[in-house]
Amino acid sequence: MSLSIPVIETRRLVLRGPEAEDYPDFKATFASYRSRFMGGPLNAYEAWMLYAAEIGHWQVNGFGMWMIHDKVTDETYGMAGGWMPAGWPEREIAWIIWPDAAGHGYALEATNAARAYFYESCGWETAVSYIDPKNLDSIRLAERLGALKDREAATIDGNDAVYRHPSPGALKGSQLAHGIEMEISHYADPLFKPKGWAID
Amino acid sequence: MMAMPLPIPVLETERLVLRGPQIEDLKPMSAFFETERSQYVGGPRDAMGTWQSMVARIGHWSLNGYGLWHIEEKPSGAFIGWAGMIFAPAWDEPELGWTLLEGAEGKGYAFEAATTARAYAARHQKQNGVISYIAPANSRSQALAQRLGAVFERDGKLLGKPCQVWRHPVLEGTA
Repeated sequence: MSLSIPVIETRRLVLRGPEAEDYPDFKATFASYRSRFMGGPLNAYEAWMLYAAEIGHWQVNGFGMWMIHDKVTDETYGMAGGWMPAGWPEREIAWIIWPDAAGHGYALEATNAARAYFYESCGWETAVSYIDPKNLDSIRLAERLGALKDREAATIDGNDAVYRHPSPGALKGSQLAHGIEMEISHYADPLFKPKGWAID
Repeated sequence: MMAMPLPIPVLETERLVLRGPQIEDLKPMSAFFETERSQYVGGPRDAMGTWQSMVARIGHWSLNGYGLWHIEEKPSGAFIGWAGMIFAPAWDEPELGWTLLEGAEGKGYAFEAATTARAYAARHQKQNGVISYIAPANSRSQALAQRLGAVFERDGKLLGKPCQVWRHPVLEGTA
């Protein structure tokens, strides 16, 4: 069995497969309250097993979650990519940003690139994000990505809202796609100060 | 592209094939973890828990450089259990573990798989003279540990549950 995890470069970020050396950063966030919408907080054993599962997910499904790195410093900011464990009605686009990396648009930039990869290189025609209704930051990010609440779609367990991403055809060359690019370029501008509360 | 860091080696014995976990194993593995038989090895687990456990076994190889093999019976190719090294937070040191699914017991398969996994771990994974955690009530596994030449070392605890720590002999000629 051989599998390669693609490396994706964006304006400010590099997305790579999860590696052993990145684990402490993952563990710190999953031990914290920040992870409450992703099944956390987790103890040391649970966090390690989840990280191992993030890696195995790539092999079993052929896609998975990337570790988000700064292109220049290589430090990690969080994870983004595809997720489909047992019991998921369909393939999900997911993300988590370490608490001290929030507010820089990294989740938007990484998730936008991950979605483009799934659409263009993996042939996905659709994708959803399952979001806890109390997770306002993630709902806001889903909306910035153009995802809309899909009330017809199956949920994981009834406690999550399903946000459906625009299809590849609806996204390509759209005003929405340009808007996302523009927002990312704003964040990349060192003089840019986002108004309002910090968003991912 | 970044290669997956560690391909899982395939080992063959007279009657068995030891290879990496595969998605096809999920159904029989889930069935096992739904039963009381799994109580000595972290069960029972629901379908989601078993899925995560199976996928994590693959990641375990990447993170540690060793891990659990899934066991196939020759020549049918039927998935009958697992054996190999386990090490995660809460473990005092890397552990040799083994489990057979129902119906595969009583044929010496666990002994065959565990000796093969143990020898490979000693020779190629720098894991020699390792321990096995065994539940106090799991007399079958204790008997197998004895047959493997392991000795009871102490009572311990793993993930909040009492367990026995058994110590395997250091295998010679494995440097």
